[in-house]
Amino acid sequence: MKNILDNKYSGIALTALFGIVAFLFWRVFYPHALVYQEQYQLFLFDSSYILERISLPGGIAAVIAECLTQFYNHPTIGAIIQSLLLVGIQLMTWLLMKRNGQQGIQYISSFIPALILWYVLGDESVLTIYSWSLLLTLTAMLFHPKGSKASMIYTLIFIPVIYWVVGPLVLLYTLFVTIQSVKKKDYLIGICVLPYALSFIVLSSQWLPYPVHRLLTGLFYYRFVDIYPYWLMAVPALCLLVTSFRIHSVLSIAPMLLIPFGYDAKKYELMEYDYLIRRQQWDAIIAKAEKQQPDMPMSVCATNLALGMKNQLGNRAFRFYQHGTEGLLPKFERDFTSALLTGEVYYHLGLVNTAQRHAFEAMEAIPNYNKSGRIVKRLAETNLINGQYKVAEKYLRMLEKTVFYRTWAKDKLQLIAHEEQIDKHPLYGRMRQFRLQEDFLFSDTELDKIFGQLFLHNPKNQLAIQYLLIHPLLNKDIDSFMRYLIAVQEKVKYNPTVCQEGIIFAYSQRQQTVPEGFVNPTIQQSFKRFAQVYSQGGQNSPQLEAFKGTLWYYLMKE
Amino acid sequence: MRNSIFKYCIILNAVKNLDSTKQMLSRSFASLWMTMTLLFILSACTEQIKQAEPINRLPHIYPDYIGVTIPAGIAPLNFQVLEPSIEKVDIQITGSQGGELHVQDQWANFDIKDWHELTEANRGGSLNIKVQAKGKEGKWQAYKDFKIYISPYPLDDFGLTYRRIQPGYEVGGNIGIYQRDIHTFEETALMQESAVPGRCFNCHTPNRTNPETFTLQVRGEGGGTLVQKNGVQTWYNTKTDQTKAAGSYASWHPDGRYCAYAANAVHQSFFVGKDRNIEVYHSFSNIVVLDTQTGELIVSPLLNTNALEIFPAFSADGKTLYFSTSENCNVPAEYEKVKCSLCAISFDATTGTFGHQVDTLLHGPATDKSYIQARPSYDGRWLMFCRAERSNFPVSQKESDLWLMDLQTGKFRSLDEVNSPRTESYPNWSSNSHWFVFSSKSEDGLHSHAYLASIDEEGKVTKPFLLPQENPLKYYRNMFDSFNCPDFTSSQVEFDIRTARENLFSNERVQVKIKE
Repeated sequence: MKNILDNKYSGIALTALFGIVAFLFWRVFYPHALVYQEQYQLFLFDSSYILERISLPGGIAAVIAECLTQFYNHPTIGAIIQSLLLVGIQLMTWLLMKRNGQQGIQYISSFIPALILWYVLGDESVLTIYSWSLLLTLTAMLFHPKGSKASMIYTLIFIPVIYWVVGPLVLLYTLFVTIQSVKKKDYLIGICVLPYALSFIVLSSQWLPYPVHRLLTGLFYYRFVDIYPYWLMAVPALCLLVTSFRIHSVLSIAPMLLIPFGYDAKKYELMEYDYLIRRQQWDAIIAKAEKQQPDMPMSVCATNLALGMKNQLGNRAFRFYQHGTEGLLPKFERDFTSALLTGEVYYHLGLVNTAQRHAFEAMEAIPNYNKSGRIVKRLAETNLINGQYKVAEKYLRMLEKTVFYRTWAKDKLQLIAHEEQIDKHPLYGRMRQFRLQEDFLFSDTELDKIFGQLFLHNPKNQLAIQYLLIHPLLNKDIDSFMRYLIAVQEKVKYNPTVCQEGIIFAYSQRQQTVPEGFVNPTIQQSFKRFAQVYSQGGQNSPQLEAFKGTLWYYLMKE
Repeated sequence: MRNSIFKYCIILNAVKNLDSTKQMLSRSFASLWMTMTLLFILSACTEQIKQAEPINRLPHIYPDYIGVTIPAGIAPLNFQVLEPSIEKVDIQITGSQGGELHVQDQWANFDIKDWHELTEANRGGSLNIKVQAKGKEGKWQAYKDFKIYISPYPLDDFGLTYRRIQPGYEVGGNIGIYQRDIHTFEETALMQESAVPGRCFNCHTPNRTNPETFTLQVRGEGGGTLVQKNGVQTWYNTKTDQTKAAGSYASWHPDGRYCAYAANAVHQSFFVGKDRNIEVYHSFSNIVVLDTQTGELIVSPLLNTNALEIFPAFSADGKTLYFSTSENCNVPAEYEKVKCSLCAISFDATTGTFGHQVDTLLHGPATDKSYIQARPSYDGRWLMFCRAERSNFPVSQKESDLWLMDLQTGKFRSLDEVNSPRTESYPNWSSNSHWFVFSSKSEDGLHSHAYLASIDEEGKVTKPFLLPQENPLKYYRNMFDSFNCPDFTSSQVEFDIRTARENLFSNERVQVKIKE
């Protein structure tokens, strides 16, 4: 192994392999993680936006990182950037190690910081700014001169500069200089450099409206501003360890094993559902749910929406895990992820105002006060539909300053105040026909009534019909279901499997025979068998499992 | 342009210092070259308009400053000409009492000093504004002139304070309290949520524009009421066994000892239809007065009834407390029934006691309207308030307008000069009571902005003007915040955010006691 790594091409090959694996990891398995990062920021080509950032320590790295993160909207480009970033950190680590006389087998150790960073990035709140700041700091370390005088001058000049560029990661550079100086018995620099760097952080807290502990943990590294991620310092600490001391290369296996534990399966499953909803890949959502039953309100909500959009909710709702109406429309929470997803359901239902509220709240709940391209786009749409053209224009003008949304925004600006064009627009026109005209206050305890209003207002609203009828069934309220079904069937022909299962169940409860033509014979036969099994074995009868996926199973067993 | 000339002079001086013959020649050549360059730059920058096509109408400008009345010394009323394909504008201003100003730029961008001199020279007069615009095809067009009037009344206050908050719904984003020097374009943050994460705060309320004494409230868990006097911050817990919530919507007694608050719980509900977004309501509300000298809370049974008493405001002499009151409706179901009456109760500052009788000035239910946010002028002459169709929170009411009552005659009227079809609210007076600021959603119906207008002795109100900005189109287009509770500040607010943050997070509060 040692001999193999003495060959310089082996190192390149190993790095290339690392980059390819990283690329595949992000592109194939976690494209949604990349899009997630993009959707909670909005990089603007605007002087005020850039100045606001670069006026703060770490702001320059923030501008660079946010500019590049906007490309994560395209997962392939995002995966390339992300993998190059990890490769960059590994290479920088190696170059620093090499500078300190390490070679051969030690090359493997140079992967440790990058691998640990890979693990750390599993926390979706760690921003890409953190990774870029780390890379920039390592670059600054690489250019640190070896000579004593030059080192002193470089340190004196560049510590404030590096602090302003990358933020508190300047302390990594500082400790690196300390170690190097002590190694060379240059104790003056070794002793002074850390207090020198800390003095800038403390001094900046006198001018900036942030306490010292926030400046010490970085203004831009983590999405939550009231959480101080001291543990993020583990990666720079490892960088320091690996570049300054010889570490046994076997240790690099440990971070590799750690990576899978950094990516919480449930969290990333929700992220993927959100990603698929954003891209309106309804079939992909259904296929995903078929592969693995969703069991959280948000994933169930996404599945139900996809089924509804494909007009399959009435036939297949109970083939998937259901747990009350929370899975149809989760309650509003002041949270940037759940409000976003729930808002999508309201939007497709035609509840434009409610969708707008959810979008607005989601954006304002983004913990680091960022804007979101996806949400601004939605707000522009809801305001266009509602005829609030001045507000819509404001959002569209903002999107005009972006790379990915510019064309879309320019296109939509043409619609401003053109009532006819909006009415004819395939999506916005339909939304205008769906949205309720009369104002009343939203109540999440009366969702079925709102679905009913949507249906009565426009019987062509297929999603509203499906939600109206499935809502009471999820509540196990057969009487309301029958009332709503009669109202629906008076206006449209709609009698899917779940409704037929509901009808026969309702009639059997009343000990009446179902009128001819309402329920097909197969369902009638199936229900007879179900009733027989249930009456003989009760709720715990193992034979009931054969009826899993029917409404009856949900009503009697779940 | 000034910078270019300045640099040119520096280089010219440097060139003059050369002394050899060769250098002399070089100097002459360099001087000639530079003069030519300067002439070229000047001719390229300030274009002589030989002929402009006359357009027989007023120009479309943003903000609409046509016919507004402004105080002398206000920040320049920069504006953009919103005509199609404009490359350059040429603005010529002539004062009725003398003075001229000429600008040729992408927008009407005036020098602060020149503007101040011109407006001071024309106090009580007017400025004639001639707008010419050059289209992309290179042709100049001249629009009809318009006037900006300079009020005889000064506005010597330093500036404004306001809270900037995302409009609309429940989550406020990065809320911030700012102060703005109205004589320049300088805006500085006094407090932003990003500096005190997780804390939502209400507006900054000075004592009759004097920032030496002010209060603000931080809501929710870990909240408190801040009173700052002469730079000393005191954080109170104004919630007691007898008062259901901490105070908000403050108003100072003129002597600076007492401060009235409404102790309430505010909620929002949201409309499903297409025309309205939000209904804000209070589940309860009572009025209390904090004695900042003793730390006691004055609670009157007449201001702590089963009804909802809200938006207290002390009169100019401090002998009366104005407030609004509405019946305790079953909100949100009965949100349309919330109609506030405008009331008054006497107050004795020497004993810190209220009178025994509440006078109703305007009866909400009887007129089927709601009268809210009363603001008496500091000279005791006027009472400004909002009138809406319903609700005790006018900011969310589309129909909310400003009204004015003459406290000498009791007559009142709608301020049609400033009202728009959209929301007007949060009026506040300047220290000399000849100017008022208010927030209006007239621009887009969602974001409220700060407007200023003047009033004379007869109650005649002038056309309001939008708070000037250096590049107004860019500023307001990029601004996604609403200007909440704008108020005048007579001098710059001194506020130590570091001390405030330490006190806020220490959770050490002075617990108020109910005055027996």
